[in-house]
Amino acid sequence: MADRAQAAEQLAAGRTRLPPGRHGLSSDFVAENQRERLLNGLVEAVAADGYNATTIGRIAEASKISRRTFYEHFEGKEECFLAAYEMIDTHVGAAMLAAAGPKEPWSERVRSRLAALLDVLSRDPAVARFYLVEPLAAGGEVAARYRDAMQLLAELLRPDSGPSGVDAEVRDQALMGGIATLIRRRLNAGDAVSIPDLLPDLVDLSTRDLLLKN
Amino acid sequence: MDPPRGALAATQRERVLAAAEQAVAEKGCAGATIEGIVKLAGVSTVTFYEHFADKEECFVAAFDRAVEETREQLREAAPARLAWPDQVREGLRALLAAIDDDPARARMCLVEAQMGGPALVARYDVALDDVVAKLREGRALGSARGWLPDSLEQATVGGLAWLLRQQLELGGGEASGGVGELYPRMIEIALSPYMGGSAAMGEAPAAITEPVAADG
Repeated sequence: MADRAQAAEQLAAGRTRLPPGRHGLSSDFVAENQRERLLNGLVEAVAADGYNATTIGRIAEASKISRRTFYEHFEGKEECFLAAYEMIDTHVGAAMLAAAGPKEPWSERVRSRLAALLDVLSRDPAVARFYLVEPLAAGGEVAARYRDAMQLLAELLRPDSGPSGVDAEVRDQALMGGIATLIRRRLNAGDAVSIPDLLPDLVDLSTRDLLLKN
Repeated sequence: MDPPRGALAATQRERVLAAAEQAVAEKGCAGATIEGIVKLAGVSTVTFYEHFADKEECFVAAFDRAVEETREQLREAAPARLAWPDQVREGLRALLAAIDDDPARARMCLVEAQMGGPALVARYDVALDDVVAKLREGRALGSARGWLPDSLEQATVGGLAWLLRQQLELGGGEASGGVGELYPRMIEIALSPYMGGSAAMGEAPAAITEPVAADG
């Protein structure tokens, strides 16, 4: 988990390219590094062209890796997308957890975790688009994975006691759908820098009896 | 090029839009082709291009047509003479009934529109903004809380649209009998900031309660 979070951080920062030349590294390491470069290239390509228009050729080009090598790692675009999504999701979750542990009072915990979420997303609009915009454009398996990610975020924001079962699930999804919509609107307007300004509203939405009944 | 006029042209356009709606619902924006649409509509490719510059323009027109017709249904079910909470209740009820009546149209509007080109995605946002404006009227109610965040309605509508999309696209869950089953939860989410939980459900207005100290 920690390794993956670290890898995701590097992925998000785009720092995973090996220096050129002979590096004498094990083939496992090279394979892992190629995989990360591909994930990185995918995020870059999808942010530029959108999920539907992104081709394997474009991913290969963005990651400076051959198409053949792409297919050694992934069956296709969707599998590659899901792998990159997993890493970013892990990174976002880890950042939110690191911001506030379970012992913090609930309202403090929510504020700190939301601030961490907005910080990660505003720092890299490509990652933010990949995380919150493109899954809705991709549909299918990818949209289902997005739903699970939103469920996980909602769990990080939940009060210690509250409704359970279907009621909690519906309210979680309505809350996350709402939060994601507000962030998405800023991204679509090319206004990623102002994403952290959403914090007071998101705290209200999450902690007051608005979208989520406590 | 000006679109052709006259009764025949209007019928052709209508047929193309209905066909586009069906094609998008079945195959998605990426999968639906002009070839497939003209075949479904029973018109020639030349006729298609007399009405639309390209596929995207046709999809946007099909989306606008579906939204306008649904809006008409909602206006009929929830006329402006009703009190605001009843407009919202009846409007939502009519919307959910319309979705269950015509899942293909709902799929185009609530799922595929977000998967199309930028023009279509922008139309989708504009359509939701209408609902945002309607909900905001609730702030005028005496029972509305004074501390509502400015983006509340945009979040509410985004959240409700996401619930509907999940149901339409990913299926299953509690409401497998149709989106109509989501009504009680959705209406509570929509109305409670302005009326309190039980009043939102159609009971007598509840006393306004202060927000609970949020320390879990």
